[in-house]
Amino acid sequence: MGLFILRRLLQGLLVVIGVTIVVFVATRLVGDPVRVMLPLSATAEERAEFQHQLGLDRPIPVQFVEFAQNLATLNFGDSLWQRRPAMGIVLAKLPNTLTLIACGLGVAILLALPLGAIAALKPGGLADRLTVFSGLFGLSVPQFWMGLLLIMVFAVIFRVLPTSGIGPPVHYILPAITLGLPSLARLMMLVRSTVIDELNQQYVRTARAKGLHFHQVLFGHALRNALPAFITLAGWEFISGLAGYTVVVETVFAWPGLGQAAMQAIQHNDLFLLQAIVFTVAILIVAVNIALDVAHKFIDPRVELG
Amino acid sequence: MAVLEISAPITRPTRLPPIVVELWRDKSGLLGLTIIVLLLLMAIFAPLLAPYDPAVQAVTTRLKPPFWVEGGSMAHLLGTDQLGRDVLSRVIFGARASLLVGTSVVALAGTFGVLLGLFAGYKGGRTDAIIMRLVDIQVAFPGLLLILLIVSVVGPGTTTMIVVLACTNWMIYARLVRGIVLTIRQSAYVEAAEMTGCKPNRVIFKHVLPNLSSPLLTLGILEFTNVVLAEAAMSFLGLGIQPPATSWGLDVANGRDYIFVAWWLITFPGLSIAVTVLSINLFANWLRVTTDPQEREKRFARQKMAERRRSRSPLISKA
Amino acid sequence: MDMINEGALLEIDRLAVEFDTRRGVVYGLRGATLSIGRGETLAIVGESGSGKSVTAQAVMGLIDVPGRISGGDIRWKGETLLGPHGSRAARDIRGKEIALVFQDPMTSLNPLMKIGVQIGEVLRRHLGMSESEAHSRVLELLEAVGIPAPPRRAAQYPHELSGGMRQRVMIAMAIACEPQLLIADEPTTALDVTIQAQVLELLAGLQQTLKLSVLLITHDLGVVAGLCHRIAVMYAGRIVETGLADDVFNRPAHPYTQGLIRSTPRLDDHTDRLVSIEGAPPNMLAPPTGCAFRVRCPLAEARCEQEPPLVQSRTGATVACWRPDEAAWGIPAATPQARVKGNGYYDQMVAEYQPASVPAEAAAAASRPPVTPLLSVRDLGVDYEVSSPGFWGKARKISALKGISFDLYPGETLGLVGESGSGKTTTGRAVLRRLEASEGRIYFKGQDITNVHGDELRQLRRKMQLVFQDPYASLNPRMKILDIVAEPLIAHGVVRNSDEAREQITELLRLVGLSRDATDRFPYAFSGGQRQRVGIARALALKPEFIVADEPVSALDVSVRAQVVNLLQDLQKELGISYLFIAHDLSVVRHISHRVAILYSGRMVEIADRDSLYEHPRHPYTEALLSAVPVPHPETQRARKRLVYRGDIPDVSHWPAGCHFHGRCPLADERCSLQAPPLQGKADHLVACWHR
Repeated sequence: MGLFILRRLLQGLLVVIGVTIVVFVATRLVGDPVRVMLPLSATAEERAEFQHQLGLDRPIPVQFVEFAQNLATLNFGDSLWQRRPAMGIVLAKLPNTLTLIACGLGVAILLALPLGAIAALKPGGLADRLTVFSGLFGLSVPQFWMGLLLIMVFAVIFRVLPTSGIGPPVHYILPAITLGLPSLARLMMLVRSTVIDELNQQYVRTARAKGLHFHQVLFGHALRNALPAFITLAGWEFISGLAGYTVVVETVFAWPGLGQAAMQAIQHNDLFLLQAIVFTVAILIVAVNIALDVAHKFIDPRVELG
Repeated sequence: MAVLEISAPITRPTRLPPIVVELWRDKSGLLGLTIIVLLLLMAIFAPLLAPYDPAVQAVTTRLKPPFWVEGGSMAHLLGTDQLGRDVLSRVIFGARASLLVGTSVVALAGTFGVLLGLFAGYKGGRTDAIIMRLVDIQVAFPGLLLILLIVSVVGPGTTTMIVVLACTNWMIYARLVRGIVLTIRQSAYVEAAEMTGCKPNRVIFKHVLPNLSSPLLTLGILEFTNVVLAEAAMSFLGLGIQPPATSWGLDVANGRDYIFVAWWLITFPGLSIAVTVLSINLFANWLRVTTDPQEREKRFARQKMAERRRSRSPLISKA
Repeated sequence: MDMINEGALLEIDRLAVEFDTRRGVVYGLRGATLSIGRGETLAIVGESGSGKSVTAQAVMGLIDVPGRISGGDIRWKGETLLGPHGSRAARDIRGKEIALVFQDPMTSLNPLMKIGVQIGEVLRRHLGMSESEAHSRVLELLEAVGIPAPPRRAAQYPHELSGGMRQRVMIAMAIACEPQLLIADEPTTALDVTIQAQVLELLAGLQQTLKLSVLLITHDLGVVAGLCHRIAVMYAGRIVETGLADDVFNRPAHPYTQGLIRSTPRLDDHTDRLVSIEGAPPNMLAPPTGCAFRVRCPLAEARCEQEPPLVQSRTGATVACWRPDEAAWGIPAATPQARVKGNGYYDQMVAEYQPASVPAEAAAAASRPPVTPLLSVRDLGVDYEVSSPGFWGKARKISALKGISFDLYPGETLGLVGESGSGKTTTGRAVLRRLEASEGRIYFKGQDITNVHGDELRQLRRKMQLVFQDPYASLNPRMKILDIVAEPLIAHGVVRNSDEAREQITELLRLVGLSRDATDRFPYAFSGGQRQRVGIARALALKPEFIVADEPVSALDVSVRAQVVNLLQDLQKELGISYLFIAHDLSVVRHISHRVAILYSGRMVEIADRDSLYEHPRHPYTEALLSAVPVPHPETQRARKRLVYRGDIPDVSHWPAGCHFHGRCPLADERCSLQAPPLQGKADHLVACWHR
């Protein structure tokens, strides 16, 4: 177990190094940070001064070493836009994004299990066809549009729910629904197809031959055995939320989270803040991945870590 | 020794291939395919179909509602936007962006991913380990954030978006292809071919590749929907297609500020995205079942069962 | 037959099951009638597609879409189990009064649930036990089915147990509620023969102590012979003969039963040629009208197109036949049937073969002529990679095979026998240079081929070919038979495309007994036996001198198995090919081999001439193996001395030191556990044992 976590940490380190290289290449070699960060009206002297200030006039390898050193000490520099440490901004916004993901995904998880299982009971039946169709529908509606429609219907026409910003729990309703809908669709379809598969397994026939009640076969065997796949996908949904897929929802609902911060950083050409966000998220993803693998081991005794 | 007769008949070509009959029976798959074909035609013949130039502004006819709403007119069937541009024309032209980006990204990412997957699966050993570790690492990247970072540095645009999306979507093809290649390589008929002395090229082209076509087709179609949604989202955020070009995502973003006064501005482009993606998904869902022999059998049996239930024939007792 | 059997526990009355498939309705059962009384052991014997497993599933309520019960009735103690009312009652009966043991213990247990919980589930469902009550009963049950250390085992997951252990768990689960009827659907088919002997012994014991009725479903007549009172023979979804076991074996009344019994090779008999039932099992999409067997039956006549009546045979068995009790199968023919000779490739092939090789009879003679062996293997060892080479390190390797030595002479068949994990398949692949040898040498016609590579190896492949076990997986489903058989010719540049080879292929197919119109069909149109013929034709295409046949008949039905065995023997007689015949079935090996080698856990334990090995086995493992093989003859089987050794075959990753058999061997002493015995002995009979 310990060895396994160590190996995964090493692998995570590779991910972080990979992200480092991509960010470095993108910011220093492909793009020109100075051009991006200074207004177009800046003079040549101002540019040179700014370049020197950021250390961008030194050789590339030297820059990379310094860049990496700063990362290792979690020093991402100051946000150019807000003039305060980028990491501080990240840490202030992160909880908002995490709670949003937790709400959206939480609802999706709670609904996906029963809905998917009901559909799986009778493949091709009415409930199943409804599930498949609504699942495909949920996968097909763009989130930003869904969010705007919800705003239009619930906030503008019925005037019942707040449409932007964070606040008391009612503020969470619309963003969480918007964020959770595609996850719900994917999870529900997964539960459906895995439970159908499991119900066709030989061990389920054994369970039926034992005379078990149908609910015992369904919940005790088929749904239970669908859990490893379910956990994997739910974890993946959580990761993709972290990986930036909340940006759209946060933009639509003016939600003060990491995604919105990333968008603002882009609008203000604030590369340092963007870097800080990307790195924090990369490290979080590595951590969640390891947690998922360990959880997998507990759910499926056949899994050998290593 | 007597010469044996073969009992099963040779399959004769019928007038309608069974696959067409099966699609006809599955109404949602058929609907999906029909809409896809219509969309393709719409995108190709957009200049002929659109009543107006999508970029032409007309101050006098700003924010006209669709024709069935009071104040609307037949001149602008789906109304006009805040600059007086015809919404219907913009929706028709917007199909081009989605399909162009979708096709290019799937082609680029698919080619790259399939090649790497083939290489990893066939070479095996260390090559395989390195390529697949690369895939693992990139899968664990903070995808969309990295895309945003790169786009903001390089500058948004259609080409940038295609390249960036291709760079972040190839892994799934590599994984699929490698998995299939590994399974097929272990199959007895590939071993048989190798044992008779077939060279690797013949084994790959005769025995391995034919097994890839249908799973790749299904995956490519599903990935296409993801790319269309990603294109729309990026254009909505202002990091994708740039004006004066048209895109459905871009149009939703434009209409956002008028959500209280002109509901049609976000409704029609958004609906177009949803309908496009939904029809592709419906068709892909049918295709996935059809290309899987087991699933196909089950679907057939279920249809039979339903027919039988409808005709209400009781259990036939032979007693 | 509309009488109600008062004493019967289970009655199956004209049961019909149909399956909807895209190619049409497949008839699984077509009016099967059967009953089983209290304390009785009844076997249903049949080949694949005969409907024997469908019967069990129907009783257990396991017929799912696409299948459906389309007629007839199933009654338990006189009450129906079908229909809305019946199926409600059935739920309480299944698992409690009727229990089922499936064929494959690997997939029949829930992989994510501890075995103790899985057994306890039945107790809690039917007997309303609490969790702790159930747990203590589970331990008793595990003890009863011979699982050592029950408390530890109960807390394990299925993947931590061996196949034999898992089947014991299945049996414990089945007897948990002390059922009146136990249905065992091919309970030992997936197990090795020594493990099969253990499980059969367990079943027989339980049947006695619990006064169980047992419905045993099997294709293996040997398994039936030692265990059952009555036998029901199934063919094409119907029961064609039901009678007392001894009667059915001694005086089979139905021509199919006769054929089945005659075509089953026996361990205690070495007739050179098996009787085979020509043709293939019926296509259940369109089974023949009337008697389904008439198309393969030597007694068939016009009235067989009518439904045959159920009549009493001379022995009192119930038979569905127009001509019962008429001997259908004569004494096996001493010479192969005359072949229709053409004047093309086939004759040329025979001509090319004959001068090069020694006649088979000469090679098989006890005093072997001083010919050089075609193949010599010396101290062969193979290592397996346990893990693939990772990003960081090297692959971990374990030894799968060690110290294998043997010679194969021209025109000879060497049988290579072993249970799972014995390394028999590995040996075959290593000899063909499909797997790299980690030690030892392989000589082909005196040439060292151990390190031959690239083009030289490809040239070598022309001389040595492989016939596969699974006739379904070994033919590419997307290729026509013509292309499949032509592939070796194309690969070696003999022809440029398959059309050029059409004449040759037609001849080859005729040689293996397939008609000309086979060339342009795809594999799915053929039955298992026909596919195996295609596989043999492909192996013959390059006119090899040596063929490794890796379990070539184990996936085939008994009646077809005899056809393929006969075909291989005929080909050898005419073409002088040498076979390395790999199999786990000792009876088949006895029929086809001149010499036999026994492998156990990657070591060769004994090699000898066929008759001396079978009649005077020297290694304790060989003795156990031979005694474990059931003989399909009730009196003989009952009279045989059986040596059932406890314990499992060691796993390849945990081989013991010394002799690999010492953990199960009655003769083992300290030396056996420390030092591996060498293969030694007199001339033609070598054995690796310190005590023999």
